[in-house]
Amino acid sequence: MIKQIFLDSYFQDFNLEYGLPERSFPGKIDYRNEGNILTGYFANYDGLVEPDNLPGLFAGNNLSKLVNSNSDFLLFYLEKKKNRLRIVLDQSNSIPCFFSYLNGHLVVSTQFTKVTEEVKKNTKLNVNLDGLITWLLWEWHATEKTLFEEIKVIPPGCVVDIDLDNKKLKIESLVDLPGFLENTGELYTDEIAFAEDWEKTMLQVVADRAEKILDKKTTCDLSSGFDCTLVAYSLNKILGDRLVCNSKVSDVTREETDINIMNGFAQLHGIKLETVDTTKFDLFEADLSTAWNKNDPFQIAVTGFENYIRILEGKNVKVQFTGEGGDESYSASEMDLPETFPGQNSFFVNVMYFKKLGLERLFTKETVDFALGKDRFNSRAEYPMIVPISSAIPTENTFWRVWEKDIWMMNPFFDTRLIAFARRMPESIKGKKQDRKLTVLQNLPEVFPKEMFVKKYGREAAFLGFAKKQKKLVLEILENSALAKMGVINKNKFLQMVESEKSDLDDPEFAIVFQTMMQLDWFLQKNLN
Amino acid sequence: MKYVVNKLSVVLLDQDKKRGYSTVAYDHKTDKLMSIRPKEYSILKYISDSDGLSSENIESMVLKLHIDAKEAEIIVSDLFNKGILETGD
Repeated sequence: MIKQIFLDSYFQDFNLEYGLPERSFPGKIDYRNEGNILTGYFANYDGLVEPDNLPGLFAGNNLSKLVNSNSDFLLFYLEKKKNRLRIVLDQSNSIPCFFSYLNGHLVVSTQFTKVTEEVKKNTKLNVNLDGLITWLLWEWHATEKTLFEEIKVIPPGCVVDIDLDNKKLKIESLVDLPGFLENTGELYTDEIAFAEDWEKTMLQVVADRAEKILDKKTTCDLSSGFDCTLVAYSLNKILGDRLVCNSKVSDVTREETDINIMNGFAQLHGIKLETVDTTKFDLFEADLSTAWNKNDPFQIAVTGFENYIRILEGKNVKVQFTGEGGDESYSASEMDLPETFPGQNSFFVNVMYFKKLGLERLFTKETVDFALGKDRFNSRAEYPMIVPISSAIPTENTFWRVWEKDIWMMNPFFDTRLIAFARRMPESIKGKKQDRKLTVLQNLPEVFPKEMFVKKYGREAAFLGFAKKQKKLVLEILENSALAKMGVINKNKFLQMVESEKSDLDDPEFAIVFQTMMQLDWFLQKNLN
Repeated sequence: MKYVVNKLSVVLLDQDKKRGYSTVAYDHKTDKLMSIRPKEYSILKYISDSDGLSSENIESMVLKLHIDAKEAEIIVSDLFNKGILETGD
């Protein structure tokens, strides 16, 4: 049984009949009429588009309505008479999909390396330096570019329109960002009223999603932070006893997820909670040189995340609600400039890295110059987004592993109604840049007990052990470094760091990039032909 | 002394033309993005293309861009205060 989407123009009708695996959620749709095929996955949450409307929207070329609705989908529409294929992805990137279209040969898959393997059969892969730097720095932006020139990804909210007769392909964004920004309602003046209506809006958004999955085993990710707890609180009101929340806990990142706070929250609201201990993965005890897989550039299979997802699969969980996008929602009132100028905003994110991380610690001078040079940003097309980029785009890395376990990640914070509401935050809260979330949520004492209002840390600590525990593998990667051969890094500098008692590798943020760099270097060594 | 564009505060891209030569810059004073309107844009572009703006070439900039000298002075001073322009050799 196939697990990933895999379409190939060598097959009749691109293999649309067999190339899309059956799933628990979102369900597959299939309409056939006068030689046209409309198929894919679709779920709507705001009532604006029902499955039966889809053939009409495609026939009438009214896809803007579809893209700007609150729906999760990836749809394929093949018009046989015109020999035209359109692929449309929702605005929240819920089913990231890679493709290549070389010499009239189209390959599409949810798994990046599936496409890589096909391309490698006929062509040499070439690294795209913009894609490579983006990958290494975890600096996400909406783009069609990937690590390799020959492979693209469908940008969120876009139509990939392929004229098969003329072997032409164009990508067009249908996200109506100006319309969204113009329609911000009146700002609240009362902080308590805003907080109470924020809670009600979340409850509505969660209820609209819960309605679609009532017959599926559902969980909610829980940590001691505020985003998934707000989602869990809302979902618990709807599902009651049927909801069992799950949480990853680790001795290494105890400050990120405080089990006592989490238990207290669950107890207060009568939420059932089960935990999965991922400590051994965060300690890098296993010998990764035999565990890494050349088809997995992020080596997800050996992470605590994969272990957690496997356990959910074992429990037959089909849907997991998450708090992804929560942080960004409290900055939605300031999204106008960065989202209207995405290329420039991406430049500023790189400048921030340059200052905070010190790009010269990582890259050669030529690479730093390219990373901050205007040629890099001039080479990009623009794909506007309403849904937070920093949450919606990174799912591209882990999505395929979750997808093949038939689990669906439900992200209520990606709902544009919720984002629109967040933009109505009172001016008095907007002024408190660092503490907006806390200021809003302190006004909901019946939801969030005061014990939760403590300093929260990230997952950086989980990256610190990699270089020391996996020294043999790291030295081997650096000796054969593909990135050094490309002139991206100076391998001797990193070799010195690995051999030193104290080095930049003790800086958690540096350690994150270093681990990503080693995984990518290893992946390139195994895959560049 | 001359003013030069702080390369970490603004990037002038080809796509700016589509937006009528407007963009955003990083205001170091407020730590926020700020709008750059076409008039400010033309001054930044001029300074960027001419490798700096000294007191000697202010007049030629004003003539070339068809802007009021006093207004140009105010804009340059404002951009400098926000760290978008800096002094160079």
